[in-house]
Amino acid sequence: MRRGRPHPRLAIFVLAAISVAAATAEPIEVFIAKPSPLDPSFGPVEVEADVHSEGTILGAELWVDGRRIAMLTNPPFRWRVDVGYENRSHTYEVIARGEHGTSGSSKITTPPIHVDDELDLDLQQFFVTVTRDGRRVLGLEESRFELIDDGVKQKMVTFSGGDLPLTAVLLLDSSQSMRGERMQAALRGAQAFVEGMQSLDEAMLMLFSDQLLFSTPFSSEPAALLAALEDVEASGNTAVNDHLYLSLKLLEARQGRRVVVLFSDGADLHSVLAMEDVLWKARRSQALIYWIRLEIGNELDFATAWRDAEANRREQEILERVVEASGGRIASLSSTAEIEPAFREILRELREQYVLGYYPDAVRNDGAWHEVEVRVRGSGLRVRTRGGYVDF
Amino acid sequence: MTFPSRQLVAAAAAAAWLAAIPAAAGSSVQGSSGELSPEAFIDIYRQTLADLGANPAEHPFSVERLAAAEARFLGDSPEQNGKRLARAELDVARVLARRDLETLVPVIVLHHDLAVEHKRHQRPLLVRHSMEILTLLADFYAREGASEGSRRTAASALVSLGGHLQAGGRRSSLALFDRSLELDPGNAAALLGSAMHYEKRGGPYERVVDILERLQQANPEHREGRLRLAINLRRLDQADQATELLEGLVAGDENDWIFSLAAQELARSRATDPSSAIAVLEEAVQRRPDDQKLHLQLAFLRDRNRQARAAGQLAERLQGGLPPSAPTRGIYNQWPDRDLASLREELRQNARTRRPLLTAALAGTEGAR
Repeated sequence: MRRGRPHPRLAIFVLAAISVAAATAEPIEVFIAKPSPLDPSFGPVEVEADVHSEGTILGAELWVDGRRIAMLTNPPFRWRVDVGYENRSHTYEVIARGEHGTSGSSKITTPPIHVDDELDLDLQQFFVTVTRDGRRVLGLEESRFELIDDGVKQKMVTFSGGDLPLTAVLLLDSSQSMRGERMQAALRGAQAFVEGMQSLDEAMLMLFSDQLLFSTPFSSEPAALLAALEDVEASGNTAVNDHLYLSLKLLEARQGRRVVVLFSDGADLHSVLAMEDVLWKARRSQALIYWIRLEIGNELDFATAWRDAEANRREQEILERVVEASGGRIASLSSTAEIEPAFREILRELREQYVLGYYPDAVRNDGAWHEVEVRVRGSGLRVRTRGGYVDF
Repeated sequence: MTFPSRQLVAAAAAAAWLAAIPAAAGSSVQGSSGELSPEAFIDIYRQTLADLGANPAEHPFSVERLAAAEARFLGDSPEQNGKRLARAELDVARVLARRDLETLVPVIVLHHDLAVEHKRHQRPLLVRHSMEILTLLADFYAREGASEGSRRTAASALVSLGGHLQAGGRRSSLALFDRSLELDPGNAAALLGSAMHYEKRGGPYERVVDILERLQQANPEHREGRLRLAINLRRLDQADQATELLEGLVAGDENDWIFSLAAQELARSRATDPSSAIAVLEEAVQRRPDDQKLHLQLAFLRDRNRQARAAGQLAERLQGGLPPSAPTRGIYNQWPDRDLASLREELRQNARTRRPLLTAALAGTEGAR
């Protein structure tokens, strides 16, 4: 079993969990030392209880999730029990009995993993979109999924479907070419996304050209985010690479499901970073990248003093790979009217993903790429998720 | 001095439309032309020149009026009337040059400004017409003047127009740069413009390097030229020479976009020596604390070299409010306006000093229409 870090509130919680026997004879005090009520529990779990009484203790029973597991008559009162790998809470109760019908007990409940918890760094989480005939499929059970890491099947420790909190960077190209209706439509899209967020969701708005023009802090308050949109004016050239890297870097410090929604025609003119640099970062990030790609008048065959046409085409191709490798997708649009619905659709998709987590069998921190495949049983089901991770 | 009209026509051999003009001196323009007769047009043309001599402040208005007259002259038969228009204007210039060759300088500037005016109004045929008249006059002035000053002035006019045409007619620009370099081989703006033409076209980078090496020989202190040379040498895997140039630029006292780009490129060139690359950028950030690109590149390099926390602090600093700074890479991608501005000022100064000569020549040729 793996655990998170110890927590100072543990002592307070445990004190509250101590139950004092109310027998007329010598009272029995029970204290569950393991597991911690603050940490999720999976697989084989060691349960340990301290039992104190001035009288004779006849034994102690362990109950897990309402089911009697075992009884020990002599200390140490220590058990091993397999609670399985389903991401759920578990209740552990130890009941000690003494002479004259006296008893004492203590009960704790361990929580499931929430995706916004701080987790050990080697937990790999995969956000998975499952479709059949282009439509998302919901309600699939955990048993249908398999995780394969470099050809080796892994034990899933977290599984969840549906609505999980997210942290998003809405990265809007605000360069000269976006002036007018394009910019207005992008802002309406961002507004729709922000207004559709739920209370635990957070977002940051980042407007860029060849410079970072404006950004908000991460916030779950739509009003705070939307106020920023009032004075936006498109200007300058475009540096997609630089600001996509910056988004991934800023998301790194956040917890849970992380998302970048990039709105741009994708033509990078003035980045100091190459898209290969962004790919390096994306492979070390668990963030999903969605690219709302406006293709109106989008001239891909262009050269600048920095890159020739072939190099610019290659940059675009690598950006496509970055998006695909992250488990996100490209929404290619041919009119400004499609922009706002595209933002809404991405938010809907995020609400309808499965989250699969596991601890890789072999963690070497060697910087090697691990190819991960998520399989799902079912006729015609297709899976989209990131293609792996860098072990670092 | 006599005006050798045959030489003028010979100089124009490259211009196909001009080849059709009879070479006989003093031939008059005949036939109907658009909404304006040749005689009426010549009156307007001469009046514009007179205005330039008498009242320089009216120059923009005069140019606008003459540009409109040229457009009217072309009418619905631009191909045929274009030849008549050229002949009308060259006839006047020929007469003026007979009186005083230096009168051609304000006339050259006038045709430069006409090209710019036509470009503003999106009249491509007239832009080309103005460009060709300017080229003919500049060639003639440089050759007949036979001094370094006359060659330099003529070259400046060609380069300046080349700069104006960069956005819409790169091939035309290149022709102007090439012609100006024949007259003034060390012209920095023309060399930069030619190099940029090939850079923006994606090569050949060997030619870019060749041009920029000529610039360095002619003007070793030209920092932008050195920066561009370093960047293009790196493209050709000539890393040692490039690094030497970049180190020289970074070591200077300047704190401008050239320094910023030199530091960025120097750090990139030291990819195999991360601590050295980081040191370059740290010093650069100290000198330009608001430069977003330097911060970003430093953040990335730290990130890449397992200094994630320090990289995160830089990212947060960027996100938290560095003001938009000069778009250094955007400046690199633009026509070198600074060189162009000083060159244009020199050109206009030359035209101003010759306006009295123009006024006198016009008065003296009143009957020579």
